[in-house]
Formats: sequence, C-alpha cells, structure tokens
Amino acid sequence: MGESRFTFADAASIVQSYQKDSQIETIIIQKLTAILQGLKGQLFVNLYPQQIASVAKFVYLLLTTFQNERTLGQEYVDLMYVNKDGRRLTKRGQRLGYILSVCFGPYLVTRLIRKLKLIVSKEEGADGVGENDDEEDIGNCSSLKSLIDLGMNLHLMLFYFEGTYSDIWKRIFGLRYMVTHKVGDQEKKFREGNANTYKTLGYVLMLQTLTQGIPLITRQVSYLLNQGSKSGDEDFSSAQLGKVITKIPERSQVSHITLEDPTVLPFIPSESRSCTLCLSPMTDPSCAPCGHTYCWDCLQNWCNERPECPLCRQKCHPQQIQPLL
Amino acid sequence: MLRVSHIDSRELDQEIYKTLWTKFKTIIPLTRNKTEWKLFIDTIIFIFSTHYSQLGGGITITYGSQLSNLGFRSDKLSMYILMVLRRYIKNRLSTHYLDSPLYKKISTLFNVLDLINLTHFIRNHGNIYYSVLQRILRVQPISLDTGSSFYENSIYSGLEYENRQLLWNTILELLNLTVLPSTIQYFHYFQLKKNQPEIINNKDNKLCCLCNEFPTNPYKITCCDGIYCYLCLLKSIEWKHCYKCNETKGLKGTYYY
Repeated sequence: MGESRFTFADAASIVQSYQKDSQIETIIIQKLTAILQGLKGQLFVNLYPQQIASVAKFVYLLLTTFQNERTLGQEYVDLMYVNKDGRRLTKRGQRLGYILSVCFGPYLVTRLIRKLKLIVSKEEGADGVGENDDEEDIGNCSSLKSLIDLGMNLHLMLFYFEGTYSDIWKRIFGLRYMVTHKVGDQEKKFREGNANTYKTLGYVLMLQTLTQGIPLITRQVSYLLNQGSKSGDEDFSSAQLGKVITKIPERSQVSHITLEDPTVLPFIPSESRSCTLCLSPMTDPSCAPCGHTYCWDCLQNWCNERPECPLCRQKCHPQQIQPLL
Repeated sequence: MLRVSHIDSRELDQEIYKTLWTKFKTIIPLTRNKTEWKLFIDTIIFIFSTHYSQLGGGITITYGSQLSNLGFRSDKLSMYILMVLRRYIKNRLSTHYLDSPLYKKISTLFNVLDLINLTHFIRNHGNIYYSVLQRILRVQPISLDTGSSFYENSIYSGLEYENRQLLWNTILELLNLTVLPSTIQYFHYFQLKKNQPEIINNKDNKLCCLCNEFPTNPYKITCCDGIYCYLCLLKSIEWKHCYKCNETKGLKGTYYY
C-alpha cells in the first residue's frame, strides 16, 4: 500500500484529547446518576459509583470507537486510531478488546487485590503461629500495590518519552493515534516543541520514580534473601525484650490489627468497632488520653494538625496516643 | 463543526452567569426571593449578550458560543427559554413539588430522553442538537466560519496551558515527596547547631526528654539512658539528635520495661 502519508500524534495532543474525553464521560456519568437516582434511589447511586462510571465509559466507547468513529476528544484534536505500523485502520476485534479492558480492567484488578488480601489474612487466622510469616505476607500485599504503582509510573514515563501509547491497554491491543490532516512545517515545529516539553516531564518523573522505587526494590530483594534468618535489629515484635530500635519502622514491618473480624479484640462492642474519623472498621485501634478510640493513622493525622481529641477536644499530643495491643 | 464546542460554549456561558451572580450576592444582601433576583440578573446578562450580535440571518450568538465558534439559528425567545427560563422553572418546581411522585416521574422521563438524545449526539449521525430542549425549541447550532485560524488558536493555546500545568504539577510532586523531607532534616540540624537548646531539669528522671510530660510507651535511649515517649524517640532518631546529651551519632533505643 506504500508508505503512510500521515504522521503519528505526539504526546501532548493525546493528553488533550484524553482530557476532553474525560470531561464528556463526566457529563454522561452525571446524567446516568440522575436517572438512576430517580429510579432506584440515592442509596443505589452511593453504593456503586465505580460501576456506574465503568458502564458510562463503556457506553461512550461503544458508540464511538467500536463503530470506528472518532470520539469527541479525538475530533477536537483531529486524531484517529490506526494500527501499530500506521498503515491500516484498526480491526474490530482489536477495538472491542481495548474497550473491554479499559473499562473493566482497573475495576477487576482492584477486586483481585482485595480478594488476595482476604485469602492471605484467612491463612494467618488459620495458622495462628509464626509472627514472621505474618509480617512477610502483609509486607508482600502492600508491596504488591506499590509494585503495581511503580509499574504504572514506568509506563507513564515511557509514554512521555516516546509519545506512542498512553495506557497499557492500548499497548496490548496495538492502537496508535495519527493526525488526520496534512501537517504543515509550522505545525511540525510546534509539535516537536511539545514533544520536548514532554521529554522534560519524562526526566522529572524518572527522577521521582528512582528515588521512590529503589528503596522499595531493595527491600523486596532483602525480604526474599533473608527468608531463613531474620536480623534481630529490624524486627519489631514488642513481646520480645531487648530489641533495639535504630530507625522508624516501615508500615509493612509491623503487624496490624483490623476490627473487621469479630474475633479480634472481642471485648469492643460491635457499635464501637468503627472509627469515627474514617467510618470504617478500625485498623490498629488506639486511644487518646481521654479514652476515645480511633484508628492509629486517623488520630495521628488529626493530632498532627490540632493536638486535641476530635470528639471531646481534650489535650491529646501525637506522642500520647496509645495503641490497644 | 466540532461537537465539543457545544459543551465549551455552555460551560463558558454558565461561568459568566455564575460570576456575576456571586458578585451581586456579596454586594447586595438578599433574604427572600433569591430565585427571582437570579432570574432578573440572568435576563440582564442575556439581553446584553445577544443584543449586540452583529450577524444577520436569524443567527444569535452569546459570549460563550462566540468563543467556541458557534452560532444558533433561532429567535431570541427560544434562546431565552433555553438559557435562562429553564433554570428558573426547574428551581421553582423542585422547591415546591420536591416530594410529589408525579414530578419525580416526569423529571426522570425527561432525564432519560436527555440521555437518549446525548447518545444520538455522540453517534454523530447528522444529529446536532445537544439537549432535548434544543430539539424541542428547534435551536439549530451553526458553525461561524473563521477559517483554520480558530483551530490553531484554540488548540495550540490549550496545549501550551496544559503542558505548562503538567510540568508544574510533576515538579511540585517531585519536590514534595523526595527533596523536601531531606531538606527539612538538614534545616533542623542547622538550626540546632546555631542555637543550643537549654537542658530543662528533669524531676527524678521521670519525664520524657523531648516533650516534658509523662512518657507514653517509655523507651530508653542508649547514649545517655534518657527516657523518651516512643514517638519522641523516633523523632530524635530521625533528626539524629539526643536532647539530653546532644549526641548525634549511632542513636538507638530499647524498651524500658
């Protein structure tokens, strides 16, 4: 068919079309929630916001991308989906796969992680032995989340440098953007200028990811290497005497107590098992000097801003918060 | 004609109405009949925005639509109903008939029709009405012909703004998460070096060295056997400075009991 006469789009235009598309998706979500509110009541709308958003996005993409039409954002910036090499338009199967993955992918991944956490915590409950295993498994779950975040940051960096695929699902199904008008010289210079700004963005993001990601990876590697023998200094079980603190322990190194399970701390009645600050079952319940209990993190965050109990406003400094063990 | 220009023009017009209304509210204190006053202000804005449109041929434009390169082929009354009266009537009806099931049914039906119209709008099969009211009142949008410079101006300026914003946000994030914590530590250390804090007398060694209160979860620091609260000890280790003996290296703590 010969070489393609059209140029691939740069990162800036892709981001602009994405922003316009998300604006329109918000409008669709608003209209959909208004209808559902009238039909099924406000409670239904409050319980399923993620699902409503996914359905709205699915409908929007079905009306536009599936029929090989341009979405409103693409029309604004004059882009169109093409194949990986830019010679043909996309196939129907490609587009359908992309639509399904981008609408329901993130939601399914979060559900999977939550199920994994449940399975892990059930295993601990069954064993009841071996605090070392606890810390490792909890460490693995929260580090799984941070690993996924790291992966997403890396992909974003790749996008800023290259300007080809803005999310992973597009890369998997091979959908690229092309500009559907003839690009003049002035416009070419403008687009190249934009691409340079995005390269700078990529370098800044790379710096940030390195400073956050390297400690994470080294910790993971040391977890895997020190599975047999744990060094006593970093261990943090308070039941054993003579343990020495040399640094602030990470969240994943400490075992946490959540009150979702009714067998944990059963002396707390079921009406008082949820934190009044975050409205969810308390993680690491801890009490202020006056006796009111909250999650450890919730009360710390509050006292770092105002050193008082949220309910009775008695003096409560961050160091006076006592966790219930 | 770009379909996005409908949305842009509507948003811009709403911004104008909102700005003037908030200014009016702050200057003149209102207690009753707020919706009537709002109707009055909106009517004034509408008269100004459409009275001076210089295009003939039955085309009316407003500020927002002109910025988005859009005109409407309709008479002024239909435009007025669409932009101003619609909101007033909706406000009045919802305050009076909030609990009536008939009103709920009618409004849900209206919303369903609106959504169906929106799906037609997105599918771009020659359907150019953005909302159901526009369809009912036969307000047809027309693109004002200003050539390709409109595309360049609006999209290029949008791109510049967005690039700058993204760069700014990413740099801020970098500073907050990585650079700032380490600079705070150095700043604190520098400040300590400049003015040595006086050592407050400790009654029988029963108070925390940092916060001078009874220590919660007491821990002992290894350099001088001083007592700290658990969190105060973590702070001292982080800032690498023992408040009792001014030791800065190799700080460790052990459980007191």
